[in-house]
Amino acid sequence: METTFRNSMAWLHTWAGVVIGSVLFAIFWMGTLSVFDREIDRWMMPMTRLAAPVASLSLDATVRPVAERLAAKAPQWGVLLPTERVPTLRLSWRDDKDRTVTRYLDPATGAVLPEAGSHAGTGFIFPFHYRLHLKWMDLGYWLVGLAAMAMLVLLVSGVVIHKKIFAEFFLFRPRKRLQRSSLDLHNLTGVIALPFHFVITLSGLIIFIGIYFPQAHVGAYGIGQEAKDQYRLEARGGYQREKTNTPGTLASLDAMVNHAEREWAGGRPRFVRVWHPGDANSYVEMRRSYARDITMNRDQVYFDASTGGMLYRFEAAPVMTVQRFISGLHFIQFEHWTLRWLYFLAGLSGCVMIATGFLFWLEARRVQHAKKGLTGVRVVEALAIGSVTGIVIATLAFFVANRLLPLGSSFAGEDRAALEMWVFYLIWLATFGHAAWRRADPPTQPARRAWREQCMAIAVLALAAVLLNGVTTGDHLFKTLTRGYWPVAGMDMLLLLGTGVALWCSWRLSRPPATAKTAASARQVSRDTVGEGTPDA
Amino acid sequence: MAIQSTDHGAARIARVSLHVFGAVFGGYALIALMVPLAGAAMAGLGMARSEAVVLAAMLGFVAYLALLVWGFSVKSTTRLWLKLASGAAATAGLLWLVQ
Repeated sequence: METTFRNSMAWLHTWAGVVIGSVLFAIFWMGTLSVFDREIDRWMMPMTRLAAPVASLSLDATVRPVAERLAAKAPQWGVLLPTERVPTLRLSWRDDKDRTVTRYLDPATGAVLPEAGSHAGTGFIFPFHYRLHLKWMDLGYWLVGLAAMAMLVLLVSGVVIHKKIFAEFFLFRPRKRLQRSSLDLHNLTGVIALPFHFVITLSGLIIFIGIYFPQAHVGAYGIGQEAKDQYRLEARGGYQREKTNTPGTLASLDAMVNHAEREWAGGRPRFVRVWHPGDANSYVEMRRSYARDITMNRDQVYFDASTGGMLYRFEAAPVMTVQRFISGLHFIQFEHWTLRWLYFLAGLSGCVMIATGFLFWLEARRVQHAKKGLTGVRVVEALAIGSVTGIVIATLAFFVANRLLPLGSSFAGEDRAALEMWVFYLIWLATFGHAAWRRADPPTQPARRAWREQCMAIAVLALAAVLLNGVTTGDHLFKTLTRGYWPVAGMDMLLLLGTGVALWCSWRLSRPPATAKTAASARQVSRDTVGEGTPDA
Repeated sequence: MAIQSTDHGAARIARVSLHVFGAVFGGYALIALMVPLAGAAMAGLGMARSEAVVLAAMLGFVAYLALLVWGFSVKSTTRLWLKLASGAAATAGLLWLVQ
């Protein structure tokens, strides 16, 4: 694009960052929260705050009677077994209108828990991370894929344009001008977590090879549905057979579990599904747990429902196993709390990197734009505020709404889980409006008031969420801490920490702006970083 | 940053848009053709078919990243489009042959 490679990369870094930064921040924020999606589930679904799961679980005694009562006529029903982080059984089936119905069971008694009325962490926050809840033509997947490729390009171009990457890593001048401090912090978070950012982004893309390269098989397998099905069968495994429409029986599921565990040399099942229940051709599918491995294996065993005999067994081939390993690096479904927290911190550092990138872009252009009467900075500033503090506010409002809406409530034909999502989207939209209208500072100054007020909103909402959890569920912080109930205690403590950080930010923002003597350091910035520092738009 | 002196206003916007569109979507089109070709080639060399396809698809992202960096560093938008188009035509031809 430009005269030299470095200038091209500087141009690319600047503009890819500004154009895609908002989406990227949303993906990073939701991805960071998804690290603790099961814990958010416990917080938002108080009826699932059960004691640690029982060591030995009988599917025949606890799950089967419930499934046969609720899902006898369903074409299939399946159950996700409890894990270290999920104390419930999750039973799901297709109803007569072909919708998936889900119920949570207490594994100790088999009792059906009250309806959760929330999509919570695993149903809202996690899918938002990879498809933005835009289902039309898979648009969300493609936008996230585009943003992920942009992120990789940003990382490569970012490394190229920073000559003194090692020196800048040790440089942070928080008391200097905003432009200087935000660039220091951008470099610091960008470099410290560079391997993480690269691996997490590339692995996120590799998870969805089937979506981003849907035609990958046509060279080796040919065109058409049959070729695609054959590729999928060879790559991922799978077994099916038709119903006979004559009645059949179901042998002991526990015996089949034991058989599967022998096949897997002690590996446990994580998911059990009964196909065509009650039919003579009924069969049972079991998927192996990956709680103790990084690799999210595709190991599966199928049994004949009436005899319990094994019908089919699959293990992924080596390259596919590599794909599952890379996916596992991203999904962190393995049980390891230290690594989980490191993922969380690295994710937050990505959020800071994106936000400070925005700030630097704004500060590098603000004075020029004001002189020329351009509106670019003001538009991008409002977008940045709504994208950064706005999505945090919306997320907190989602938590607060979860504690305020009574179970079973509905409004205008939307059920409770949908209402929570509406609160998220409407509040998020409102934060963009607020950011656009509430800037009182002159155009040569950052929109301190909008940032400050949104920080205050974060502080208030986070504190309200903690208080409401204590009041509405009785599991206040004192109780959860003394009893060591970490999913809820941890989330409450992070919310309180968030209140503290937001208050500190709004206090810093309320102090008078920096004086003119820092103009010299602003010029220094332009010399330090080729291209980036020079306003040209 | 350096802007070619002949390149101003609407003309620059048009050129930059064409360049970005070419690098992003043209680049993806080329990779989306190369992935199945690479899958077929590796399967032809004796890899299990499904394994060859998965490997080709995974490498596709890395190849696309390299292509994007190249695409944005090429100075001439015309040359970018010409190279991407000839590459895509050649890949499509080969893919048609191996099928």
